[in-house]
Amino acid sequence: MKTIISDPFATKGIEYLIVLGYLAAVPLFWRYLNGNPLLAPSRVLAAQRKVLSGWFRLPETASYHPGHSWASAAGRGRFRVGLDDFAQKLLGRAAEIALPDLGTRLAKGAPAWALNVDGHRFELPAPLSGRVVARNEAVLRDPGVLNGDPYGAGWLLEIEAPRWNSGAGSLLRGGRAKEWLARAEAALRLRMNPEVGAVLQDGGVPVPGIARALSEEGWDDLARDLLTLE
Amino acid sequence: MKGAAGLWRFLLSELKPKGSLFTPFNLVSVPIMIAAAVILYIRFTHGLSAVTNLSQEVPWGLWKGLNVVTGVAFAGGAYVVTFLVYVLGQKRYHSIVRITVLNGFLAYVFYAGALLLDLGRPWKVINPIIGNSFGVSSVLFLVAWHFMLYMMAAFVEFSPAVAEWLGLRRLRRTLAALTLGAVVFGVTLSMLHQSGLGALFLMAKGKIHPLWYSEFIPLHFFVSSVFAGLSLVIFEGTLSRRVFRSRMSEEHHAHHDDIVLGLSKICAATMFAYLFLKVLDLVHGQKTGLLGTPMGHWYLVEIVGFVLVPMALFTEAVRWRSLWLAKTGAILTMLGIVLNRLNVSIVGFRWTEPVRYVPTPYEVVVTLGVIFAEIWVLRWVINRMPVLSESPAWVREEAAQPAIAERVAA
Repeated sequence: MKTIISDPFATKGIEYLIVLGYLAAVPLFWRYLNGNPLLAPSRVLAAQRKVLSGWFRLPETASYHPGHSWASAAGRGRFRVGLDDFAQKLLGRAAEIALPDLGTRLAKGAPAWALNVDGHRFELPAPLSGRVVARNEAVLRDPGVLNGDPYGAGWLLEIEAPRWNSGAGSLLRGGRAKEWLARAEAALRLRMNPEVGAVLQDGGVPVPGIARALSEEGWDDLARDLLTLE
Repeated sequence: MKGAAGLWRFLLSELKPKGSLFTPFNLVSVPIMIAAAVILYIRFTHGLSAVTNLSQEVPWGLWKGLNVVTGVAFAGGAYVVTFLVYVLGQKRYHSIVRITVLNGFLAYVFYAGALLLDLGRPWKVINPIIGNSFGVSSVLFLVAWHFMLYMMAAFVEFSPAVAEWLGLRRLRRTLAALTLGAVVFGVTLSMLHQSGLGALFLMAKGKIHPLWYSEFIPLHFFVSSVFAGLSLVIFEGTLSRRVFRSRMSEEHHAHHDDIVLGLSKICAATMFAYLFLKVLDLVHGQKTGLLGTPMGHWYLVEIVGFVLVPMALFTEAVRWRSLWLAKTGAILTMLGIVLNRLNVSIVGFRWTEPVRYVPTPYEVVVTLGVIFAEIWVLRWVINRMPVLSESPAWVREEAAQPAIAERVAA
């Protein structure tokens, strides 16, 4: 060993091997580190999820943006997008929904549509980047359609998304989407009852417009807080 | 608050203690701080040799090795977290920005301030700043400027909380507008001076044991400051949740688990890179033969026990979503940083000398006194200003103003 390490050429050779070895190890380590968590978010959160699961629908056919919008492939590079069940139940029935005009370019995460609920305007983000190619006129005429079927008849827009740069790949789906919704539910539960944990009320069914039911004053701020949690 | 008199009355009322004075922490820390003050009085009246084992051969002892070199590494959390939130847009860490910046700022004030205790002529510390004698050829010139500028940047970053506490609305708006600039400035300065502290030791080539001396020591100091600072954030967050539970905002409670696991992931990745640098340095410097010596064993304890093991703990913490593993990893990492900085500045320094430097009990008491004093100020601020708690209602109202104006316009 001593002869090898005192020979500068051998030393350089070992250095190269170490560098190559580490470069090879980086993706393996990163994959290992980012692999699916082996346990549920935490025992407390898991317990909450057990109690709360079923409050909000989360179809596996869609992918989700943390700003509570969903996207689902509609073929030919198009995606149908809308507001998720959590957001529509939190806000309740909107008096008016404002959608962008056809041809508008949307950026993922930037405000795309707005709901007017009891005089409060809520701007919500697009799940993808792309160009608006269709709008759901039925929802514009009757916003209640959104509350009845947020993932079906209540869709909001169709977007033509660029193949490489739409941001669709990083949307939440499967286990990650469930975890994210569990966190959103946990945050909501904290606002409902920060001290005592899960109680009888958690077994019930949420009423439309949860935010207002929780706090008559300042409910719009509460809703905004919950909608922007990541 | 009405006028200067009102402000003065408010400040006086805030000076009163909040809560019990006879807590276990107070009972331990107060006698130590009083003892430290007495020792420091002797140090400034009778000189360094009266209370320390420092000499011309060993001019840097525990005060610099632990308070300055290690304390500044632990302040690294501030620039990492502000970079994550304001530059990378990772909003989920937003709830810990203030406490981290406050921690970083106080760490600089107290630990970099501890430099004054060690200087033979502390009143000359201002010279590199005012130009009486810049000393531009010294690495300490850079360190002095970095420290001073960073303290200012960190204070500007934290200052909106002070304005919110005092109810100074207009000042808060002005200070909040400066935040992003201060963050960018602060991150740049931090990266420079974390490595600059390492560069100080480049001056001591030949005096430091080869296993700890390296031309890459600035890089090692910089990379290790990332996981040192974040480990302190994880550890401090755990303590805060116990001590300041009632003052914490809902946002803070709701995000705690995710924040700890997110920071653990960053720690694991940075430690992975750090290990690579250390292994490469070992081979590049042809130092592997030294690993069989007693100092080599000590080196392996540091690298395996306090870098490799906590890295594995952080990795498993992320995979198992285990807060317990993350906290254990954070504690081991912090111990590892203390070990590393002391190995560089004390244990490995002039390791061939027949008589080695061992700090006097007085030095240990002063070191603890400085740490306790920092914790006292930290606690005082947290109990009064919106650090862990939410900003006052008027701040949230002001933030909502543009939205209201928009609605009115619509």
